[in-house]
Parts: sequence; structure tokens; C-alpha cells
Amino acid sequence: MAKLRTTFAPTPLAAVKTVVGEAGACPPLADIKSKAEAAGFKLELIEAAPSDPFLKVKADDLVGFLKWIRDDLNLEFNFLQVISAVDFIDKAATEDSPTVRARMELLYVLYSFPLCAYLNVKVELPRENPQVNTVAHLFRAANWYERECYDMMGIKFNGHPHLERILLPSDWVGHPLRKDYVYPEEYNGMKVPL
Amino acid sequence: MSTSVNNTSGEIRDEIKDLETQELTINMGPQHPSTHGVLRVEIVSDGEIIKGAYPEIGYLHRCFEKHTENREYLQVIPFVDRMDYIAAMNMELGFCLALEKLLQVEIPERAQGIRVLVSELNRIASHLLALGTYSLDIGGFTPFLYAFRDREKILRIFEEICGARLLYNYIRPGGVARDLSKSVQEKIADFCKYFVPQLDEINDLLSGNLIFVNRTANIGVISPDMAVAYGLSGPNLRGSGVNWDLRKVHPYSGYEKYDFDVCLGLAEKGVVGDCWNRYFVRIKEMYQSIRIIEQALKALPEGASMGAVSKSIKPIGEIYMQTECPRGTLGYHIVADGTKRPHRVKAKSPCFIAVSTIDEMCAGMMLADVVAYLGSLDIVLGEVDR
Repeated sequence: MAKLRTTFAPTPLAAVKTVVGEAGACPPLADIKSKAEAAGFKLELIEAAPSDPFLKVKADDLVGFLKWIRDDLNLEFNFLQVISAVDFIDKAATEDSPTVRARMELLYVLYSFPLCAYLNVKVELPRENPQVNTVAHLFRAANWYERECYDMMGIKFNGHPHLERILLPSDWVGHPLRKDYVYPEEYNGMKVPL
Repeated sequence: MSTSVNNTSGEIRDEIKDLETQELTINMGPQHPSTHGVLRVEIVSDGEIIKGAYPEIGYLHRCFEKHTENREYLQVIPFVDRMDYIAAMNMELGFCLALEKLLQVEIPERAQGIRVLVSELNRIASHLLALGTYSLDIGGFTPFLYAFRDREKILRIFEEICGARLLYNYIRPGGVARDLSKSVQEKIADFCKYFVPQLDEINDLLSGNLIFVNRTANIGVISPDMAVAYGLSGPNLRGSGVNWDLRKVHPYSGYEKYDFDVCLGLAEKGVVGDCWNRYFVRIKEMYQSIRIIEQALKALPEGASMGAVSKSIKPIGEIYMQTECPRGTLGYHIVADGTKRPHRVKAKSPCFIAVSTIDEMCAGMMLADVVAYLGSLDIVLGEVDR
């Protein structure tokens, strides 16, 4: 028999209001970087205004780094905002834009309540057969974000509990947000209008 | 089969003793009225108790993100309208703010004031729809009519501001498409005066109603830790007692100038994080929105409503920016490569992650409580599927 959940431990009101820290409590990103390097992670800090600054992590280090930065009591980046994937294909420089190298990028945006700050963590993956270890066991939110990245970009998350398509039908061919995606002419006998 | 279970001596008859129970799989949606759109939840039930609930999304998927890659920046704005069509002003505001941060342009004070006005009005309209349909789900028909009557007044104001009732295309990079006329300002001021007593009335009618409280209090409790682990935001997060409102913590568009309170679930009924508290946070937020609107109207400076931004914009860089929408924090990740079209636009939808909690939260619930839980999350499937 399934069990009915009836009792819940009420959250004490005193604990409710004290979650958020003061604005401006966050140390500069360079400090976080040197702290992480002391803990044994290899990082790269990339700053180019007006873009957001971000920390670049090696794909093998990703899970360990996110776990460390989530559990470190002075940082507590435990609030995962989004996982976003970007696809780049080789492109020569034009008048407006510089040369682009083929790669796949994953952006993890984390938030820390005590520091009142965002942290952008980036991982670079090869375009051919991109794969990285899952963080679904660290953040419950990652479960669906990773499924979406898989659905749209074809990035494989090793160890994910349920890596299946989420927005598209399960028999869809291809990953539509990849830059070399070919639009299908028909789906299950139905013509796809363009 | 005979009609009674027990015979006269009170013993259970043999043929009934051997009956087995069986799990039943029920599809709730995609046409179910309480799913607020085209969401399908596959429910495995054991009697009245739910063993598992598996949400299936994607019925409204239009791949907005792919469309943006083939459009110029200004052409993207109508697309973001169509994500959360209940609060389109807030969708536009987030996108334009992210673009402006990339372009590093100054926004005129008046345009900022107008943006705050329209997005707070839209927040009220969205919360009215949320609580109206929520009461309808629970079985109260009257608050729905009250809520829609007042929402209509806001939509009339929007119609006068920009000509559209739902999909506005009003906020643009650099400011807003049209200035706010004197008569509209008067109408907004009149609306504030009119709305507070109406809201009191809805509040009196619904919030303390015993049937409503019994259906929602202590149901679907999300603890603060769980809310953070799931990345919930907006009223769903604050209903769990986490004090995080982007308008307060990372103010944008001049929100730091206005005096308002962050509303939390404080367990006036039930426990922190249950359906009733999430609902009540929305009621309290509407009062705060009225406060912001009144201050913004009073402080609205004269001047231009549109900054000096070129019609064909070519930003370069990468940005992730979040704003506080009625349903939570909406984020845009924009990768701009210096051409007229964005390389990639990713929208982080608060409803997407709210739907993902159904799996864990609904196991062990009564079947009828799923409707109460879904309604309290206030999801819009246009935003979940994008």
C-alpha cells in the first residue's frame, strides 16, 4: 500500500527570515579563484566587459568544483539558477565579429544567499560527442536543466538518472539548437512547415 | 456481486476477502482544466493515494530559442511576449534590461518609471488570474469572477497604453515604445484607489474561508531547503519562507527608490511552504505592488521615454540577467557575436523548474490534492515549454 503523508515538521518562523545576507558581501571573483586553486582545482578567470565575468573549469573537475563551492561554508553557492548550453561552429572573422572556434559551452549559474552574489561557471566541451558528468545529485534543479540541454544540444550527462528528451517527442531526430541542425521535412508522415 | 460488503453477522464474506488491490495509472491532462494549459501528469494511484506523478511537458513547445537565432534583436521582443502571455510586460523588461546591459546604454528616468508602472500593473493582473483560477480549481466560483473583473480594468489600461491587451511589444531596448499620456496616468491612479477595497473583499472572501483553508493549508509542503535545492523562485520560494526578492536584493529599473516590503509565507494558516502560504504571498504582493505603483506615479519625472539607441543594434558579449517576474525569476542568457542577430538566447523559466517538483512532491498525496498543489505553483505552460 502506498503511504499517505500527513505530518510535516513545521519550519520555525525564527529560521525563516535570516537566509539572505547583505549586498556587497561577496569577495572579488579573483579571491574565490585563488581559494579554489588552494583547494586543488584548476581554473581560469575570464573578464571582458560588458560581458559577465566567469570561471572556466575543466570538464573533469566540474562535479568536484561545484560540490566544493556548494558546501564551502564561507561561499555556499547552493542555489542553481540555470544550466545553459551554447554551440559554436567554425567561423572566419567578419567586419563585426572575431573568429570563432568550434566548441560547445555549458554555463552553470549559481547563487549564494550569504554572499548575495551570482557565480558563472563555464565548461568547454568538444562539439563531437560532447559529454560531461551529471550534477543532478548535487542540485535537484539540475535534473531537468540537463535533460533540456540533452534534448536541445545533444550533450550527454553521464550518470544522469533519467536522461531522456523533455520538450520534444521521444522519437524526434536530431538536436534543434545545434548550429548544424538540418530541419526535417516530415515527422511521422506529417509535413513540417518551414 | 452482491450489494453489501458485510453480512448480517458482521463478518467479511470469503469472495470479498480475496479481492486484490491494483495500481491505476491516470492521465491528468493535457486537456484537464486544472493543469492551467497543456500539461500532462501521469499519475500512478493506489486507491486515493498517489504513488508517483510524472509530469510530461512539451505540448506547447515552439522552440523560441531557435527562432531568435534567425531574427534581429528587435524582432525577438514579440517572441518573448509569447512565453508568459499572462505577464508579457515582465518578459519584455527582462530581455530589454539584459540587452541594455550589453549595449551599456543609459535609460531615461521617465522610461524607467513607466517600466516599473507597467510591470507592477502586470504583476497584479497575473496574480489576479492566479488566485482566480486557483479558487476555481478548489471549487470557489465567485472569487474567479471578482478577479477577472479587476484584471479587465488593468487590461483596459494596457490597451490604452500600447494598443494590445495581452501581447504588448511595448518595452524596447532604450526605453518604451510610447509615452504615458496624462489621461492614462489618471486612470492608473483611479485604479489604485478602486483596487485596494476590492482586494480586501477578495481577501475576506477567500483567504479565511474554511473550505479553502482546509483544501490548501498543510498540503504540498515545500521546505525552505527543498525550495532552494529545486531552484524555485518568486512566490513559490517566498511562500517557503526564503527572503529573496530580486527587486530588493539586486534592484533594477530604479526599484531601489521605492518603499515596499518583501512578502513571505509566515504561516498565518497551515505551515510555512504549504499551498495556502504560496497563495497568500500573492495576495500580500498585490498590496505591495499598489504601493510601488502609487510611489512611481507620484515620482514619474518629465522627459523622454526613449533613450538614444540605434534601430539596428549589434551588441557583442555574453550576459546572464535575471528579473523578478510574477511567477519567479526569469533569466536571459544572451550570447551576442556582434551581428544583427543573437548567437543564442536562452530563457530560464521559473515555471519549468516548478513543474519538475511535481514528481517528488506529489508522491504520498491524496489524488484531489494534486489539483491544489498544481494551482498553488501558478504555472503558465507557454513559459514552461517556450
